[in-house]
Amino acid sequence: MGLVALLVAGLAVGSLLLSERLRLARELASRLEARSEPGGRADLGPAEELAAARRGRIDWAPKLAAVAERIEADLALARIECHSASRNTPARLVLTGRARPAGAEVEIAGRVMARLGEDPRITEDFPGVQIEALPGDRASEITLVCRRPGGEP
Amino acid sequence: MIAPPRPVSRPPLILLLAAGLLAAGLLIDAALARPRLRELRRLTERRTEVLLQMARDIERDSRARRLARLLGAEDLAAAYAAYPRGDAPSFIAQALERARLERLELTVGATVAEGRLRRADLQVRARGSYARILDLVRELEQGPRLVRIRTLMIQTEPESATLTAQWSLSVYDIAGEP
Repeated sequence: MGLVALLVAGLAVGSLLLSERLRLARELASRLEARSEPGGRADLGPAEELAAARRGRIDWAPKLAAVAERIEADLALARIECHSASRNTPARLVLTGRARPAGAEVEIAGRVMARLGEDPRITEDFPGVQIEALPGDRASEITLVCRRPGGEP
Repeated sequence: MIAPPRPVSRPPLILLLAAGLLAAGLLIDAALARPRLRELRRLTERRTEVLLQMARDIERDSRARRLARLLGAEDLAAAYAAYPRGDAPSFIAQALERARLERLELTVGATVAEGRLRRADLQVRARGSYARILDLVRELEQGPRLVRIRTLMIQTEPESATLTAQWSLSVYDIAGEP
């Protein structure tokens, strides 16, 4: 008889514990549901695309400012070309000018290359500065190209 | 010799009654506990789902904050609200005016959908000093609207101190309401 009474008491306690656990689980679930209410969240899509387009862009203003500061009287610039990378062409900055005095083109080109090559605003995107053309077709005209080594976009 | 028959011992009635009640109690308890256990299992699964969703939401919110900062705003809703929506040629014409450059040409090219963005291509030619050209380039690159300078060519005009600049630009808009 005692054993039966013990079993009945055990069943009652088990049932109470189960009810309590269920109540807590319901309460926790409803709190979590309330906290995870969707809504008020802006769509990430356009922002991600804007950010990706911005990341892939070369900013030319710092480079043009660097050119203005680093090119001295020994090279009279006639043309500056900024080309962003396109499908088949890598990004590059092309500077064309005349050496002053004429006849010292190689030396002047070397000096200008060194000055541009030590400016982080240029080297950030273009670690390499190369001579593309020295006088030949046009008297004393020098063309310098800043591009990535290997020419990758 | 025949053994005398053993007396049959019968369990007391009270014990039988208790056993019956216990069996009935067990059955009733099992019947009541089953749906509660089922609900408990469902709630546990739901809690796991909600916790996973919350983890995803937290990651998404932190990504949203990073993107908003990149677009120069506190949150994405503010970034979208602040994103300029005027038409691209007027935007460039106003920027040329602000930079005090003499506009020589402003040609509107194609408008192309790029994912959730709309890209308008323009050709611009203007005349002015190097400082003013630089001002315009800076404004376009640092402004809230995304502009990509595809090509820029600056050249000296013969027998003159002024420069002519020619841009090939892409101006980006957000297509529709984000």
